[in-house]
Amino acid sequence: MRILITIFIYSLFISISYASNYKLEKVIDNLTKPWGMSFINDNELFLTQKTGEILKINLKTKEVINFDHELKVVQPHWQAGMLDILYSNEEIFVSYTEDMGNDKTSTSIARGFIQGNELVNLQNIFQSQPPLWDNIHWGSRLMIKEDLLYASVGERAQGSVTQDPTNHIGKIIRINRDGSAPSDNPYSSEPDWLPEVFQIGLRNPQGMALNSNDNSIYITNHGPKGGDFFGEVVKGTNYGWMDVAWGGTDYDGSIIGDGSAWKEGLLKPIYRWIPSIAVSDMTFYKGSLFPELKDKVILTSLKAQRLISLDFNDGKASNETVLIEGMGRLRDVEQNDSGEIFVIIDDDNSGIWKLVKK
Amino acid sequence: MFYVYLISKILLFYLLPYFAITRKASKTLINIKSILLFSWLIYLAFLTYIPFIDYYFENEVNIQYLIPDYILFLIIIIFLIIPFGYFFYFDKAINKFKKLTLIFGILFLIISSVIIFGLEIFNHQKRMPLENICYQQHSANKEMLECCLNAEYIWQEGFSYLSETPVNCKKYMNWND
Repeated sequence: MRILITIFIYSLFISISYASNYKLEKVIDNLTKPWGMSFINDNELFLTQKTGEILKINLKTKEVINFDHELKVVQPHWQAGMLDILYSNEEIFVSYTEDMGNDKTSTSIARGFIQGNELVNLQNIFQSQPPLWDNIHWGSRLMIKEDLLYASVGERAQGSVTQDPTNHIGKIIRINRDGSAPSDNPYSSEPDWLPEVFQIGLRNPQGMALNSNDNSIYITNHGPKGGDFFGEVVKGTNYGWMDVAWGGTDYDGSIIGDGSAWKEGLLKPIYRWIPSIAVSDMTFYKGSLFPELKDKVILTSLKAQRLISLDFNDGKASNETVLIEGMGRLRDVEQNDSGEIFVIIDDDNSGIWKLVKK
Repeated sequence: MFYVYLISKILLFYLLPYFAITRKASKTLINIKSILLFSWLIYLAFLTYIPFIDYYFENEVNIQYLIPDYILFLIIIIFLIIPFGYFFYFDKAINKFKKLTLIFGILFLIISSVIIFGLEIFNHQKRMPLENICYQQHSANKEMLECCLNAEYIWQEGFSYLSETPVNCKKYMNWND
């Protein structure tokens, strides 16, 4: 009866959304299932749509250029499709679900070169192994640090396979711009690790950002029922999926492993969400437009439909604050050099929104 | 204790319609037969509704978010109306097609009970290891244990709630510190 009354009351107040000092202002319209953004300068950015498009968008003139490409992107099905994009030194990197034949797919990464308003020579530099049937948990965020490309590869519903370093499933990989593996990746000391593998034991890491304060890369990761987390990417470490579930349980409510959130030898998440908020991408705010957010982690959430800030000092996160709530499933958050913050919403009829003060 | 409750519920589930059917019909609308039948239908709707809602609440990550809130509201309305519909159907049908209704009713009871009580046993079996963690890891005091047993998420190092955390339990929810 308590549940019944809760639902009834909740349905009466469904249209009331969260009140904060911020709001989202739509700056670009008519996008379909946008997934990733990467700024070129204050007004121009690259954007991917799950439906396969790579777009260059000018926020000022509203001009949208759609680049042709021949990547074998799986048409959006569940979580599959064209995924993240990263711009760096006249090059773009895209991660996507690649059709590998026989109904099998991989998380793949392609690199292309920008020449004016043209995208040329877009070629694969990485294909996760092995190709699989399952169409969920791709991870797929991209980040560059010291000229090395970091990418998250989801576990494709394979569970404990993430503990096996001889595949790319449920891993953070680190590669050179051409796709080759750097000689100081963990495989140099761990001979059974694939050369691209940098960290193991993840489930679905859908957020990645570089913190310029400590020059470290951080990720967000989807737990199962509970256990979403924010944590650091550390060479040769293991987050433990699915020996541990970071405080979550399986979808039917049962224990994963022995019910531990952490075990000796595993890397501990920095901050966890239980219940899950379906945490997606993040950025460390470095701008001056919102001084109150300076050096905080700004995170998006799909299920909880929130834009969140977290204080982050000395490797500890605290003071979770909801900046925006109830605007839709927030997929990606990025900032430009002027400190403006932009988000995209996971929806068929979407766009780009700018964070502004009320 | 779980199985005592379960057996009582199963007995109620089967015996209410039996008592209703075996009593002689009366011409007045309010009589024992009608009350028994009506109680059974309400009980049936309640039993059906609870596992359904529980299922979607338990699986909070993806599935139930595909269902708009107005659909959930509609489900509640439907479950309020269905017992009345069943009542009038059974009340009239029993007299006209007694045998057919009985066969249909028994089949309906068997299938329903397997689904409803099967789901309940399944959930109970999944829940037991979690409650064991409460007794072993989170029983420093009575209040803490109570909080843990009422929580939706339980693991070796802590517990959490799907909805609002009870005020007295907030002090135990320090796993992010």
